[in-house]
Amino acid sequence: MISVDDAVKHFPLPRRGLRRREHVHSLDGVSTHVDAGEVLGLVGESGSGKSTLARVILGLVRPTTGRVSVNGMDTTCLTVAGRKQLARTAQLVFQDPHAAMDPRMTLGESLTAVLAQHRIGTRESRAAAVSAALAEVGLDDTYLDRRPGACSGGQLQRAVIARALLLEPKVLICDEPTSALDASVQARILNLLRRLRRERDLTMVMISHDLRVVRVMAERVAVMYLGQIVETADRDDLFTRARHPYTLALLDAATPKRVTADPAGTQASEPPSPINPPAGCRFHPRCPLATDECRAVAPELVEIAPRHEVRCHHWQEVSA
Amino acid sequence: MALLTVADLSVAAGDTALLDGVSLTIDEGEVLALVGESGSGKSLTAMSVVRLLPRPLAVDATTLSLDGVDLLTASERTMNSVRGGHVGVLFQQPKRMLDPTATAGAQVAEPLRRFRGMSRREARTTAVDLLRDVGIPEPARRARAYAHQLSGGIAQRVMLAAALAGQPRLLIADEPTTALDATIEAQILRLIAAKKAELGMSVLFISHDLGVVSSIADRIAVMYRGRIVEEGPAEKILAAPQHPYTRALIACSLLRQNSSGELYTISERHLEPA
Repeated sequence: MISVDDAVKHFPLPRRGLRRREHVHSLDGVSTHVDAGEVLGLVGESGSGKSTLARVILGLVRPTTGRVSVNGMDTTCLTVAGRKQLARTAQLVFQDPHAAMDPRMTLGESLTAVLAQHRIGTRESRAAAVSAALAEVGLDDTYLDRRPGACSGGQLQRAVIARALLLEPKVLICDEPTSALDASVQARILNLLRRLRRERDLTMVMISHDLRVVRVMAERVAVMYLGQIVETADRDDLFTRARHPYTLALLDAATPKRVTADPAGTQASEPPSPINPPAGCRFHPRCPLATDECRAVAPELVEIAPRHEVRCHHWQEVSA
Repeated sequence: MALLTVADLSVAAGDTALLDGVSLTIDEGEVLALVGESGSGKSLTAMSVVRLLPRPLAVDATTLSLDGVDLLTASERTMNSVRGGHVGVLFQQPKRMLDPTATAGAQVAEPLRRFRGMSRREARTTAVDLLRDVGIPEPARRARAYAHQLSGGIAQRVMLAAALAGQPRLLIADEPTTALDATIEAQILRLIAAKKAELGMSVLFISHDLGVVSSIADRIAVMYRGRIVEEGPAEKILAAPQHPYTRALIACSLLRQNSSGELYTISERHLEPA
């Protein structure tokens, strides 16, 4: 359903004086595919390129090089007509629902505008379709006349999901859909997404920095680090048999444990910048297993078991 | 001995009660976590302590005292030395909370001059030492940086350095790691724990994330709709929660599933006392 082949996206930075123009290496050779009906989880820290990948898949950002297709349609250079057609195949749910909705339009107007844009139905049938879409996400007709400012984050995220599903897409890409929400609201929205996925047989990409969310939503998980996929595996394999040191560091950071008052280990270590990614393996400055080989030679993504790929020279020495 | 005592604190906006009889104490060197969802009154409680609530809110309490200072009757002048002096505050979005027009060094130096009476030059060098103390690499260079040039993790360390500059007895940390990545979050929590131990401060730690809270809190108070519904030692609250709301909140934040594979949510029936 979704196929990404060697996608590269470099964003140019403003020139500074006479120095060479620098680029942010958001994606550096990302290849992945999502089968129809599958849910792919995408995890990684800020700046790892998760959101850029989502935008490249939806044709919102044009990759520097590489091929991307959704349901057989090339999304790297879309015409206006092509963009409209893609909108009916693939939709995006954003992190901040308050930013995703026009504050001056009522929810009813925002949703109706989508159908009008695509010239679907008549005035009456659009109104019926919008209320049905809201009902499906658990919002009654009283929400039609509300503006985003009068809704809570959870209610608004439901409306965003309803809007994304109006055109009956086959693919739903969720970019941190619950990061801005409270625990109980998060659980409800995730339940809703799981039900919709089941009922509509959606293909999904679930982007999250929260491994717990990915664990309950995704069937397969790809871990990104500085613009590259460093490990990909079926969900259970990833959570129990991860082989990349970065994946293990993420899993470890996600496990709550008592912090000690030890003054050692309080130094800041920030992820290296995607402007000048480190030579060799990109993870080597933070990796406990780094050797001279890691500093010099960039590892390739290798298949170490069926459907389990790792980008590490030393994966055999790593045990979960 | 109790450093902070809050008894029967109520805050109202007109006829709407926002906080309803909140009582808590924090002992010296203790970390108390206030846990709850948005709108439950966590930040409101903290802001009442430093009297930073907007004027139209009516605040009422039987006791509100910190380190021997009666915060209910203290003059605005006294409050100005309490804020930044007795109490340091960390916020959720450090990059927004830092002054965009002042360098990191200047923001750490300001409380040094103000509360510790240092000269300009002395404050400048001490600020660099403080930045080094909170684990910032190349502190002299970072001292000259502005907020927009810092990453979220470094900006939170700068906030901590500025908060510690006044040698506070109480650190209020309001969702200090919520906007940060998991690996950076762990670093900041370790840093807060280390500074707490080193300086013997107490910490009022506000968070909606029980995972984060379990890693740092000595005691936990769970808030719901302006009230504390359960309070006790951290291990006890996490392992054997008594109030149905606490139980539901724990199940929810761990994304536990019921027998039919649905994730637990909080419904009205959890809100009645057991």
